[in-house]
Amino acid sequence: MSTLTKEKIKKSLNRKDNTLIVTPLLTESQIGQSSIDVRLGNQFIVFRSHRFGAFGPSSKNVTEPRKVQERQIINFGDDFMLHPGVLILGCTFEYISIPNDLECQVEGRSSWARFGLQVVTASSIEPGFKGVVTLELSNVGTVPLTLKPGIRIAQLVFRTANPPIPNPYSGNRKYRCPIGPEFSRLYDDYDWKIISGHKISDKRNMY
Amino acid sequence: MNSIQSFPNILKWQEHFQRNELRKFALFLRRLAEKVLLTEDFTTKTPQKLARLIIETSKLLETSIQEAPFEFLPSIDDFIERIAAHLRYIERARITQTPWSLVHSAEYFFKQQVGPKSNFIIRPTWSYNYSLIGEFWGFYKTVLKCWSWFPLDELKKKLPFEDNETIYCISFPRIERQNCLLHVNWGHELGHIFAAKWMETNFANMWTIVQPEIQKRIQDHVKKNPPPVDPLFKEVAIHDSVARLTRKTMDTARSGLCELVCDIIGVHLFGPSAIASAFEFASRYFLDVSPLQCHYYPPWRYRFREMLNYCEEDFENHSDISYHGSVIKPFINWLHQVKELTYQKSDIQILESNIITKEAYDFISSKSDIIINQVISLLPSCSQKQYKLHERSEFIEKLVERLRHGIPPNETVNLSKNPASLQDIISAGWIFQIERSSKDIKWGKIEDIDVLFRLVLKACESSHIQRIWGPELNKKEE
Repeated sequence: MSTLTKEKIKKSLNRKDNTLIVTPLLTESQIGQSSIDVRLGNQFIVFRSHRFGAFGPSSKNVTEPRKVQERQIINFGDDFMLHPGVLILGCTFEYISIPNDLECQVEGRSSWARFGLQVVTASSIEPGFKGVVTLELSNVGTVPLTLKPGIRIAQLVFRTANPPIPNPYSGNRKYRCPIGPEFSRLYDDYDWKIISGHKISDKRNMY
Repeated sequence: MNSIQSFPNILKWQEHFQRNELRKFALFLRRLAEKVLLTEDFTTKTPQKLARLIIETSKLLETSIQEAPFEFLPSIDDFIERIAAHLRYIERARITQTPWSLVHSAEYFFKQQVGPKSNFIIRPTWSYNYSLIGEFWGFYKTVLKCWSWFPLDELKKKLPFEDNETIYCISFPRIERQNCLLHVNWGHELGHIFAAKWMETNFANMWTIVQPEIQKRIQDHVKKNPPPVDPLFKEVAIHDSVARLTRKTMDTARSGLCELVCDIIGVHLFGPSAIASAFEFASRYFLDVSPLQCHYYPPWRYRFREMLNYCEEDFENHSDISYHGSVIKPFINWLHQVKELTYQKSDIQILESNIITKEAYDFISSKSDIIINQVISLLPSCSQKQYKLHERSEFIEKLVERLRHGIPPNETVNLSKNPASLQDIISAGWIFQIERSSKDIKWGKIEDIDVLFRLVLKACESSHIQRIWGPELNKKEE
């Protein structure tokens, strides 16, 4: 498994088949020496902390993520204030499609990290993933940060998957072609239902 | 009792009471509009513009009602009631209520057609219909101009838009919010702006020329089928009947013509996608309902025939057109099936069975070509040329290919400097949907449709942002 450098990233973006897609790349300078900078999308999921006590697989707690979180959409160019100690879900503006011979790592940008912005995401994106990437953004600094959809927020680092996966990201997928941050689907874990000990609401399937 | 006693005249007391009530209405309206404005979650700036118009108008009404002559009070009441109803357009235009990914690119597209000074609110409505409402600022000016006591110039200074700007509202059925492919019907609604312009200046003249002949034929018809009245009143009854039928014929012709012209504008701007969306919209209705039973709307079968004729070049077998591969073919076959529906002339029979619809649609069919050309000439020069699918087929096929792979059709290659247009994206969406459902009977589950809508919506958003920001960002880079 080796990290793709600029030249190889460009090659992967220009392949005829099994292409790496990162769309739209507004400028070529987004392609760095060994990564692609991605921009912040305009959809967010924020907590409705005033509406619930706790979340988790217990019958005493809320088990439906949509009850504890809600989607917020702001316009490109508008401000999104991220206050210290707050976690939100954001997403990349770019829609990505990872070919079966690559895997991807999403990392924060050090320029933002120096102000306390952490971009924590599921550490790797599997070959075959299609969609925008959900970013778990939190401000661990002491001053509020003004985020604007469209700013460069994170970077994608690509590594080869050897050997290529024959049927990537197929079967029972939790997240299918998302175009915004996705609510957690912990309840889709096979053991969630057993551990939580109660029936999960059908509402979970509502988009 | 004391306060009443302070007014010697009961009428004066009533007037004072009425003024106070109106002032209160204006104040409440202003507060409501301010509250709506505070939410700040609108997809574009246009709902805020309308909100500010309501706020500033009510504010000035609050202070100037005192100056208004007594006899104006009922009309002020009526005006406040009307503009209060405008709040609902703003409230429903909030970001979560709209297909927001599409709204920016749609408004950008509408502005290209109607002019940079036009503004559009896009909002859902619970009725299953698309409609165009407005123009709002023109309405305010028309009313307020008549009130010499109202400080219209002061209002103009306070508004966040210029005097020559216009504000329209385009509605779509709430239940179809995500259905971006159906929203091609907005092209038809946009057509109403141009059709209204043409109607205002030309229809009366054109009708005046043909009316004597039409009236003569209606008269002959009525004479053959006289109204069942006493012979003494027969002549008067015939005269009345002819006048009434002629009037109704004109109304039928005017409305029918307007709708048909709007259909053609839709096809002109969006190509065969406009037919597909009209067909989907009409699928729940009978195709052959007489205009007299359907608010003067032409029968759907008639409308499809006209629309298909307008873009015949796109799907008939012309030697110079070759659709590469087979991606577009299922869509073309589908259009042929719609065309087959129009071979049946049951709509024409319905129209011919009544003297009103017969005369109205004879007039329409004899004049429609000229009128359509005249209306199209009102479009800006960049839109004079019809959007033709076969001229875009190579590019669209690549967009469809992306949809097949679960990728938004906003461009054909990475790092493209050529984002797809709104029309190309929508065409690709329709072609993909029809191709998939024709080849795979299992395709079409709600999850499949949902993914398609999401990809098309994302493509609309991405290509719009790329078009707006791309050139500037790249320039800086160079």
